[in-house]
Amino acid sequence: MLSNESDLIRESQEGGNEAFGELYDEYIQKIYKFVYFKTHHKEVAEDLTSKAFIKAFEKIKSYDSRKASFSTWLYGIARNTVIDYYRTKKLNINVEDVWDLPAKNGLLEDVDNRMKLEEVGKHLKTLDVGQREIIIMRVWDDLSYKEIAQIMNKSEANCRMMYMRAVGKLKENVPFAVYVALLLNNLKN
Amino acid sequence: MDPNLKEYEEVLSDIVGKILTAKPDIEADARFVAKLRDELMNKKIKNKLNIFSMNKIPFIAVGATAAVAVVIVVSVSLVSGRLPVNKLTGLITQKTTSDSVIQLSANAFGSLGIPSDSGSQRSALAEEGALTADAAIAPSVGFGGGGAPANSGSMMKIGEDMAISPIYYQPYQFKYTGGDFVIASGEMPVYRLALNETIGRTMARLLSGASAEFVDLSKFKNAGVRSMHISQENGFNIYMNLDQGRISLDSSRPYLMTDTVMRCDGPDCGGYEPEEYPQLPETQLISIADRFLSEYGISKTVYGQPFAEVDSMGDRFGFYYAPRLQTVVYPLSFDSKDVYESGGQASGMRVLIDAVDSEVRSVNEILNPIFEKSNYEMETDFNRIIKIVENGGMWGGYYGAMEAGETLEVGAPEYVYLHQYDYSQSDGIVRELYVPALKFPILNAEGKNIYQDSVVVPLAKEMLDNYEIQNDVPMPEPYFMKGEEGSGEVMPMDAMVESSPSAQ
Repeated sequence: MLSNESDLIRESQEGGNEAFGELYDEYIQKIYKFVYFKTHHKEVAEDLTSKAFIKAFEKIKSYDSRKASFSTWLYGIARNTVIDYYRTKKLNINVEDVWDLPAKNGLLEDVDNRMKLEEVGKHLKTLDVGQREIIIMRVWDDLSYKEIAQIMNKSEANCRMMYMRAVGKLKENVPFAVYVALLLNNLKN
Repeated sequence: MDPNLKEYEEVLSDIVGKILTAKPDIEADARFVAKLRDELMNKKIKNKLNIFSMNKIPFIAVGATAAVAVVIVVSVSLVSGRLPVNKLTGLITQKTTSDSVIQLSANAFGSLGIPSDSGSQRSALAEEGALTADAAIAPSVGFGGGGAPANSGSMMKIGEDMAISPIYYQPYQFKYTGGDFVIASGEMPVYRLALNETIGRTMARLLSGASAEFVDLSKFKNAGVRSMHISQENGFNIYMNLDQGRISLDSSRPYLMTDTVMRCDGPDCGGYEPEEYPQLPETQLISIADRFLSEYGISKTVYGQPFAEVDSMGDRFGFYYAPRLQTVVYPLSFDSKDVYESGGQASGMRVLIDAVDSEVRSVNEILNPIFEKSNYEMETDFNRIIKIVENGGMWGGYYGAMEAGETLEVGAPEYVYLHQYDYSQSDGIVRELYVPALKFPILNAEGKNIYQDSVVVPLAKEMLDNYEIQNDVPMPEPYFMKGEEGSGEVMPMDAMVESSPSAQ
């Protein structure tokens, strides 16, 4: 987080373009990666990241620091943008991110990361979308429970409960369940 | 460790390794980041461009004369049919001088330097002390160029007796198998995109003459238009990066997102997207692209023979599938020699065609076809070039070998140009150079974990000198994962398990 973030937010809300530019510089890579992990495609990730920042730019005045941190607010916008993207596809299943898609889905996907993602996807796809999101946000996006809870609009306790349920659901896949348990219990908040 | 978990230790290690190393090591493309930033800043400026906020219009000092360039962004909505886009793009790509190449005196571009990322992988490792006898590299992304060392937040420190990385990639060895090669000349031309001849100033004059109702643009002396975004209803978005002399077109039709259809669960939804797309024949793709470029007056004079781009590695490994957007590349070409990026990919204009309706969806890297050229001293010692080739090129380590010593054979080279960015600290401008180079084909790429099909080495003597000075480091050894999360601190596996509530 930038040391002068609250000042930059205030200036942005007052119309300061340079201030918003500094916030953009701070968060563009994080948000892009967050979106990429949910789409697995460069152009789609760029498109959705653009949409997220444009929304943030247009809605900056509505941001309230008493409700959530700026990063949480920004991640929330990005997450909703991704969900909107998949929901506007003509798919006959409910999809909120790329992990939910069947193998042959007709959507764009980067080839270079596909092999590795398929491997880890075998495990992640056994979880429901919320549990999977928690793991990815914790491990890959390096977000705290508090941040995840705010982004997902759930309580922190609820997020922890989701993990417990994930463990229960993964009885048949014990090693991975163990991993989930270890990971979610031991990574720093 | 909880005895109940002990039996899973090996499998657990494997899965931990997989999920951590599976994290795509991606960065947002620098050009995308800059473009989006411009767009955001321009939105702001556009909103504020009124008589009451004139004091906030940004001015940019240029050179000793302190000439002022005003960043002006104009968004114009063209109603289809009212203003023909082909005329507009014709204006944009028109030549501003009678010749598309401006000859300058020798060494006119100053120091050529070396690519900023040259040897970065090895240098970074050297700085981290990773290039020790028992250290090595684990690519965080598997293929091509090896990816960066996986030393960021996704790594997990483990006990000395426990390795969790599922795959260890080794650097490929390179061996030149072609014959002798005589470098023709000790002096060759380096080309540079002529930024001074871009149409930014021309457009500024047009705009300043037009004078908007809310501000008299003619008052801003020496103003230059830096970027424009023109949006055509049901047509194209035209992004003009004028001071960098390039344009891109992108369909404003929502081809990735469907128009208005929201989530649809019912039996009557229908119209699902096809799961697979047809691979259009190359001749058909080129024909479509040619027709489009002709229709919109986009010049092809600085480009060589077009070709359809195929994911060569996917093709080799049998997992290639035809994408919806299929690409025709028009390689930039000087003196009948194509331009390549450092990784061996052709550099130039790309036309993306939708396989569903055979329509062009976007055109990228339309360059203002004005270049400067200046002669520079070239290396004529072929052995010196071979030494760099057998080191994997200037950009080093091609990881992906499953066994140490796996060798890539490179054959006799051909002359090409290497595309290189040149950042000037004096004026903060990034210029684009095209440097004479040799392109060595990799002869036995079949079945290898690499995207590159060649190694490209520049011939400019100064670049080779600088490279050798800055990259005097040994080739890295295979990586033994000792990485740590974040700055390096993740608990050992044993400690992690012991502190787990599940283990208590």
